[in-house]
Amino acid sequence: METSELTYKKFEHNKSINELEYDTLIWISEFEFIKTELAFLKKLIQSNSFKSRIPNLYERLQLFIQEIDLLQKNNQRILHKLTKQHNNLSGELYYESFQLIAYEKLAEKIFNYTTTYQNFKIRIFEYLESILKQE
Amino acid sequence: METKIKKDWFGREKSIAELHYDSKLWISEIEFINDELRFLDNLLSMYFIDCLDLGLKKNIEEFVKKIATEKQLISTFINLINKHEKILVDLIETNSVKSNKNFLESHKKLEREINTYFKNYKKLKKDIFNTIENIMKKKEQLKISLK
Repeated sequence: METSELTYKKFEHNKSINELEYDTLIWISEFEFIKTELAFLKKLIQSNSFKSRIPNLYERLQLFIQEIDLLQKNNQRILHKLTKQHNNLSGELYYESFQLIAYEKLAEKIFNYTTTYQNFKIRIFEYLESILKQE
Repeated sequence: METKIKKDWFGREKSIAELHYDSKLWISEIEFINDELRFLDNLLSMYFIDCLDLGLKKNIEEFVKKIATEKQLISTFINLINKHEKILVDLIETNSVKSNKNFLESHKKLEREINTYFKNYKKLKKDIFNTIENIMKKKEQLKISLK
């Protein structure tokens, strides 16, 4: 599996307030899904489904759990910002320039988070698959 | 959260760079799904015996079928995106991207189809997570009752 090498790109365009609101709703949906997925991965790791005779298994799994905890915290932070952004945009006809700056900052944060998350999943899949093969 | 707003770029035009970047993002996401499907397949194999014990054989068989369909769709989409990109390169050379309404329409159509694919894929993943969590819970309950 290869890690993601795409970089964030900002485009010069005149997005309408409806488009900013739409993007925000899509991101909220995406981050809600990630929340569910992270909770599942944590339960899976903690489920004792993997055999204990593999060297350093417990330690490796603990490190993954620590990473999940951090990803969950950041997910929550971003979701909070997204909800706030949605409330600010909702029902308005126009946006102020500071709102656009905040939107763009958040867009970059979201891109970086999803890249980190995807790379984390690649590592955890590779590790768990290697364990499954040994069983 | 579901949204009913339909994305049609809200009346604005996308730049050539943005159209090209869309394709790159789609390919990256789809290739990742391909790896993830392999993991889900392995995970389901790991729980297969437990599924038989718990009478969930049909669920697993259904998931395996759906994963196979998703994999087929991946190659279909990658081919479609690559063809679409080739057309974009040709149009850039003849400086006719913006005037080619067919291309812009086909980009929107592809975007809608890919977004629907992503949405269905997430639904499949949620169903798999729920089934595996259910198995883990039942296994745990069984362990406690045997103590």
